[in-house]
Amino acid sequence: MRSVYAGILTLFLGVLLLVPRPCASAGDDDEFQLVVEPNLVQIGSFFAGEVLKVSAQVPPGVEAILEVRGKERTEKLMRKGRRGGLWMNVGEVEVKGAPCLFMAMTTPGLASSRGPQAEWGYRALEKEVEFTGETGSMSKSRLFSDFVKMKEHGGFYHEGPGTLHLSGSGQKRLLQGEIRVPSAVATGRYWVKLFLFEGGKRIERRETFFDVQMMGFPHLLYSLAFHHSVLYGVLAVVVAILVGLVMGLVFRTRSAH
Amino acid sequence: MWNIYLPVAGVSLNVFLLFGLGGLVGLLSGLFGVGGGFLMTPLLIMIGIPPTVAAASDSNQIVAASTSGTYAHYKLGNVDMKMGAFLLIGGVLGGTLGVQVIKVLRELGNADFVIKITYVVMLGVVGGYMFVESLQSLRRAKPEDRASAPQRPSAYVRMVRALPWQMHFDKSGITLSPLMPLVLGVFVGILAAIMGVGGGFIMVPVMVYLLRMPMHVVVGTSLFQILFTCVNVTVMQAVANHTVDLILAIILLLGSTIGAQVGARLSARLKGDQLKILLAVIVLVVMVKMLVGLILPPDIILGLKGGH
Repeated sequence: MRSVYAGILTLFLGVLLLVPRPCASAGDDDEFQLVVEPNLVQIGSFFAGEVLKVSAQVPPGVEAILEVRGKERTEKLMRKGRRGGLWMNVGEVEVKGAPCLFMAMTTPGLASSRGPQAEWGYRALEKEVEFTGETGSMSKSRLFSDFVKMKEHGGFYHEGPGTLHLSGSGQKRLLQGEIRVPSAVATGRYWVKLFLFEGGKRIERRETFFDVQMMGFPHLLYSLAFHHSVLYGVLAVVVAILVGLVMGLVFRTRSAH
Repeated sequence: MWNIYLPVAGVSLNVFLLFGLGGLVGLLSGLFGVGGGFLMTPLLIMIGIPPTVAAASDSNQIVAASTSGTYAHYKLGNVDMKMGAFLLIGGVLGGTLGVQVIKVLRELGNADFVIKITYVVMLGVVGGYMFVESLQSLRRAKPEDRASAPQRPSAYVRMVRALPWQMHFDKSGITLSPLMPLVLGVFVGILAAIMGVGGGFIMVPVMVYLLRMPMHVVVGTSLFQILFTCVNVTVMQAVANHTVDLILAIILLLGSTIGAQVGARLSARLKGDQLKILLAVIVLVVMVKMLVGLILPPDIILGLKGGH
């Protein structure tokens, strides 16, 4: 009987030793997950933009590109031109394929590299964006350059070569970066994608997201202004009259006009 | 750190900057006796508020300022309700028309350009006139040298007297056709909607020089008309264009009311003509700044449609 039990135990241990364990895939294992903190941006009364921390454990010897994208939308912009000595809007230009928010960052090793990993950031985005309408004699490059400048001015677009940091050593390195969300960001979902490169080839892609929501008093006012506009208009007037009367009573002087 | 989010404007700005801006414009209004709306809107545009939101929210702010002023003048018996009613009817019509004009311009993509060019023209005309007039005042030896009523009725007076439906306005002590205040009210209402001003800096000289009303009734009656014009413009802008930012308006009016009190006390220490020249210079500086923005090539050739 003891030999039977020993045999069963040996067989069991043998099965355990022989059956191959699954490989720890960087994409499947939780410790390699792309993390954005916080993953919910709440626009409240004192919102002035927010800085999100991005991190991921990556294998050694890799370089990375991080991309943040908002929803793509068609934008109608006005092209300025000179008429009668004054600069004014002279034509409407439609921009298709451009995300409402776009940020791209790389590790220092990819900041000035060539090859497939060089197609990142604005260079890659320019191929996706289309300009139609009254573009005049402006080239696509010039239109795209001005479009990017306009977006950068508002904090909606950013390109940061070498701004992703790698630290640590051994089998796992820590990749870290920052996403600066502007104060005028629209509500909705934003996608964060991480591309890992090794030896000039893309080896992995990870993805996560963060959401932006308006809350509290700004959300209430925004809803009123856009969905109950008559009530909002009357409310604005009533509040103004009441505050004016109160301030007039407080100071008891004639207000200039 | 002290930023406040403006949900309709869609931007976050320092609350002290907004309060200070309101205070500065209020100070100028207390010093010079003008509403400051014509300065507020361009200043708001300069700090990053979309032009259409700046104009609409400033109208809301003026409702508050003119409410307290109208009440105070009414208590003193300085409001000609009859005249104010005609100006008001014209103002409401003009304000409604002006809001629709803005709506069409936003669709065409030229709202911000029209607002800016209107400001440049109006600031240039008003600032230039004030500068010249106050300079002439300073040079005159005696107050009696100032313009007095001509002995013979001028062509303008004859034209006004020839208009139909002449009626007497008791509080102002004048007789004229209601067509005059109606038409002038429409004009001011349109400007109020486009520029986001109460129209005081236009209405006061119009009442004094064109309607020939006595000064003590002009200010109160003007405020009365401005109040209702801006109420109309505020509601219409909120409904038609969704451009009234209530938070922005409240911060500005709190600042401007306090600033006006300080300005009123300071004005007692300065000479009238010196004040006028100072105001004229400020108005002209703002005009030049806006004009330069229209003349110099922009850094970015593309812009948002509708001024937003």
